[in-house]
Amino acid sequence: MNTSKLEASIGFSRKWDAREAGREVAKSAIKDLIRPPNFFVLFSTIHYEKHGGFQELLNGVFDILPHNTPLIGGTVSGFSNNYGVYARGATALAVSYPHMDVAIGYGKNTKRNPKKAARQCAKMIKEGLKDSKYENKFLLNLISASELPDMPPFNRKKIIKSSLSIKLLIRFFSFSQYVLQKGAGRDDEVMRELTKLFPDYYMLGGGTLDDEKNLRNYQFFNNRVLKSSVVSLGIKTKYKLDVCTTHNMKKTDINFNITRSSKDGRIIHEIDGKPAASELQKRLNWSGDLITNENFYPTIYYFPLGFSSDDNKNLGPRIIGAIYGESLVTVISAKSSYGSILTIDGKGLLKAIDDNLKTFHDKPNKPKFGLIASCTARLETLEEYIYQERERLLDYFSEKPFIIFYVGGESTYSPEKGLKFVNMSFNTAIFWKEVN
Amino acid sequence: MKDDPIARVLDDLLKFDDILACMVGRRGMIDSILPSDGTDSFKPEINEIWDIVRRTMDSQLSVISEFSQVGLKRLNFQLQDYDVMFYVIPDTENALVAIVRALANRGLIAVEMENARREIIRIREEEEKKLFATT
Repeated sequence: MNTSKLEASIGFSRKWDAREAGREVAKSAIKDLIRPPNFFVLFSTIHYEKHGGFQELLNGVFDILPHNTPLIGGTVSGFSNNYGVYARGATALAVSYPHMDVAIGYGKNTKRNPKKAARQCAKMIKEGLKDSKYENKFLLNLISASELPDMPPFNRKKIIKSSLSIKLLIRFFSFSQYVLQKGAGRDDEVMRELTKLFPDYYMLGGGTLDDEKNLRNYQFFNNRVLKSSVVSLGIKTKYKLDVCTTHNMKKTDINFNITRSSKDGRIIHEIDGKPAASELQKRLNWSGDLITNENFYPTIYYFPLGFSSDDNKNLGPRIIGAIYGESLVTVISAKSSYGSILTIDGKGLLKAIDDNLKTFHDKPNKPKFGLIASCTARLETLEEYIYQERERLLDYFSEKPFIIFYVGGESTYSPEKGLKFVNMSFNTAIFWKEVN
Repeated sequence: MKDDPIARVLDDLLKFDDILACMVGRRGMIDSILPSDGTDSFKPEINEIWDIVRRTMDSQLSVISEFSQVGLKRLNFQLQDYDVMFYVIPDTENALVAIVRALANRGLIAVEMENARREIIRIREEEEKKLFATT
């Protein structure tokens, strides 16, 4: 028996009770491993909050796992793995390999001070990996995504035509952001800071979520449940890896300039000098009442705003998360004022996977395991056709373990390609054996 | 009904906050399968509109019985503040039906409805195999 080879395995549970689910996901993940795992990445849907709580989920995991196993994870809207596609349950990736060093870190208060949180997290990773001699470097970053204050008129509504002044509403939003840490995730700012601190790493990132009510989300760090935090897994290994972001959005000929936005660039008040929401609908040739709270996903999600975060004309999609009065609320800040409407259909969403996996075809070895951050809006818009996404991954990975986790605000970074932080995208981190 | 594995699949669906009621239905509600405790675990807010939901549901199940053989897979309709989702069980005149809140995240519920449909198909195939083996 060759005990020096890499072992990777997927754990999975559909049990409703948090403790039982924790035990099952850990037990199933390690049952085929010869050695204890070097790390354990755990994803869970929000449902355990009401079925025992996340602390119990983690307690269940550590009923089974050795207590010193480095664990990071968080809540996601759904996941897909070698077993199926699910919008409820828990899944995990466990990896064991002697030629691998691992460190985990966390940073708190990402919504209040994202740079500080990134630095706090980076310090732990750097300290943990300082003696490692392996040259292939990877960082998985899970960051608390945007959360709305759980009070009227926000609640579950995407469109607010409030009797309150919208100005007041947006001012309250800013207050809530800093004091309550309920507001924009600022995960793009965390990522930008991390890329400065780890310029030679390959990274995969995603914003943790609930079931898209966007009211709360959680991060896991060993046996602790965190909020408004970033948790990272740093790996240095003999195994090769690469990351890739694809979205396959097509640019329409509807172009515009953002003429007034919030200070951070996330909320767009005016485009081409006109109230943003009305002007957007006019340009799309949509009647004023076409977008409703009920049909928000299948309409607006297919027409994200194309934007540039780095002043070039390479446009990436950002979703309109809500419409408050005439203001378009997005979750990524844009530096450039130039924008364009992008569009896509279901076929295009699936082709983004083919385009992505094609970039790995020239690698010398087949994949050993993969982690994939996919936008929750892809899950929301593809609905049960999401199974076709999984079938493509099954074809590619064959029996090898993979997890697609559905997040909000997803990213990759590589020294060659730089940071890609967009919405509606498909982001892979795939590992393979180096050629001897 | 308590030992019916399909009823247990329905029990699982009903644990979602946004799924107010569910069943495997057929035109005229003949041989419909309900969750283990019948309609007791349906969310109380469904009671107010249950009569109208039931009537509209039944007329849609007639459509399903007519068109399921030619590949009808899914129907949705919106009634007042609710969505009614029908997932046809292939080669039958039956559909998995769920009534959900209109503001629910239908995409996520659709994934779990599809999982439930697949589970029901698997249970039926197993039952058929058992029946075949004993005859």
